[in-house]
Amino acid sequence: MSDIKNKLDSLFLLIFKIPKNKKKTHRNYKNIKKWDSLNHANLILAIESKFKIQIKPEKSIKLISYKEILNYLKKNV
Amino acid sequence: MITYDKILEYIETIKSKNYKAISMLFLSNFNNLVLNNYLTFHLGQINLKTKIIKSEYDQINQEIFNLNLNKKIDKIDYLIIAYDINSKINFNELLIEKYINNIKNNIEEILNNKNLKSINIIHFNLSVSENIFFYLEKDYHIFLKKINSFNKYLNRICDTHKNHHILDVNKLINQIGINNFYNSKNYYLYKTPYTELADNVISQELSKIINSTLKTNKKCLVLDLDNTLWGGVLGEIGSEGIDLGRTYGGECYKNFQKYLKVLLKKGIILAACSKNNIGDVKECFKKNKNMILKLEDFSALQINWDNKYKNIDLIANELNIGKDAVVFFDDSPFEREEMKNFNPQINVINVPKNPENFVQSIEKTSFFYKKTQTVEDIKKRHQYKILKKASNLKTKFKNINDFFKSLKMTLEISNINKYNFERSVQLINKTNQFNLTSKRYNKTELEVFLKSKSQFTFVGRLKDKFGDHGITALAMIKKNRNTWIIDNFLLSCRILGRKVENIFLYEILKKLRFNKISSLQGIYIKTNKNFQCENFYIDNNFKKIKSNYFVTLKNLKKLNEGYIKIKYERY
Repeated sequence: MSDIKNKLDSLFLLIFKIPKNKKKTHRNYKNIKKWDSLNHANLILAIESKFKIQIKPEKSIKLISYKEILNYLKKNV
Repeated sequence: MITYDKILEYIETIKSKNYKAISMLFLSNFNNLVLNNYLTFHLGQINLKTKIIKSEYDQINQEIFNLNLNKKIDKIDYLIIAYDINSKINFNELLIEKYINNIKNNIEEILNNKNLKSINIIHFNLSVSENIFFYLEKDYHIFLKKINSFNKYLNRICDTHKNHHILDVNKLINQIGINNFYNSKNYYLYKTPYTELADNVISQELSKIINSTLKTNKKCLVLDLDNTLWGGVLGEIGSEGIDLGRTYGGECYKNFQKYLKVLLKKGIILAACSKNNIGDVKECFKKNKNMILKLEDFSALQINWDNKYKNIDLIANELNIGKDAVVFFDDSPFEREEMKNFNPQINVINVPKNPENFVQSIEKTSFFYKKTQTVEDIKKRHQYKILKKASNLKTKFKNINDFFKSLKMTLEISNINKYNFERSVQLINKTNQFNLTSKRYNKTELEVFLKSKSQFTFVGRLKDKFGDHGITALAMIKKNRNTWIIDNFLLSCRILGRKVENIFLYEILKKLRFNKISSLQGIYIKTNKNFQCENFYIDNNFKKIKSNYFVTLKNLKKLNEGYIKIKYERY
């Protein structure tokens, strides 16, 4: 589990420049400035290759907060 | 293949590196963020740090036609323009016609923008996705015809404009297959049309093009023989026993040799460096009927039992080229490691285990990528051989002047003109050793220089009894306020050691005196490589004042080196 969180945190650092140890459970596309539509693509593609999964299109447009992504990964990885 | 998350991690590490920085504006009608990241990665692999100037997605027309672009031009080195037609068009003849005309308009606008002439511009050509196969046959043919005709138009633009280049999307589709190229899911979701694999090959190709504009191309490929040009160890199994043709591995090696033939045609010099008995090798090239390469294809041979890192120095010396222009290809990890440690300037290819991947491993680097091939390139290999013959001859003569006389040299001098323009740019940017100022001019800058009123340019073509060495000397003189200065003076190292440089300079001074110029200033700018011409001006009777060199043209001292005939051409 902590491995999943660790990996996800590293992507949030790379893409949104949010430090790894910072609490993110409340963060989403509204309160992260860099989280625009282009970077959303960036994030989902990076998640897909980092966790070696394919996210269904209808799901990937709903993964718009840190919490939702983490829950999704816990269930699917 | 490297995955996207690793690409993102790698890009972070480039930021702290001390690489040469380039900046680019990437205009496309799709979301190019992912592709940009791949591109930054691949350019990082060749030690370039990429800065991408932001532009709005799918705003090509607006960027090109409004002032935005002009504001950005100052900051960019490269402009990339990519249209992915599959994402835009509901197929019908009129629409596609209109669409293509719009692209052409944009290109014409770019061609007319004077500020864009000094920037390298890369165009994606148009391609079709698998969707097209569902069209009616008649429409399908119309569609293809329109696209082909546009691509031909683009080819013409890039042939006639030196700063325009093509990224051949169709070639890449052929390479990896159309089903591996487009990803409809990602397009509909994020407007990124390509798969990871396609992003990878596109950005690899782009980085090759960019690298080729930076003049870092290599000149010579040094090859091992056993398990590189053929399978097995020649000394053990003999010339008929080696694996070449017939079997799986044999076919791979044979194909690799065919590829090397292509490199030869591109003007790349081949050399062999192998631990073998020279007699065995000669016999093998003569007798084995499957051998594609001939021994004569190699401009230098070091076949003995010495360390390769020492032998490669001998090859570079013999061919008179800098070590950083040499690429080493050897299947043995030991030899490669030794080379990297003891001769770090040599470029070492990471040779894969299986011979079917040999070609790819060279193509992956952009060492030998070229947009245009000058006539000089084709001649060059021949010239290195001439040079070799000449250096063999040297030993026969006791007196060096007798030797020079026997060469029957002629130096043809002209100014830089349309006949030698390409070659002049190449010389200016490639010559490192005998280069007094190492001032580089790209095509546009040189054109600007030539248009100025207060300038003289000289190029020299050397011929001797062995053949034509081509244009190998160049000088550029300009007026800076009231002083005439030698802005550039250089000689290709191929013809050094014959005092051609002194005679070339003397002829220039005479010509300037004829044009009523009374004095001239020479400049020497020290680099890592040009120490050999440090005293050039002093040796030629210039006077050193502070850090500059001056000569009065009134009392030119006669040079008594009667062994070179001078001819003036088109001057």
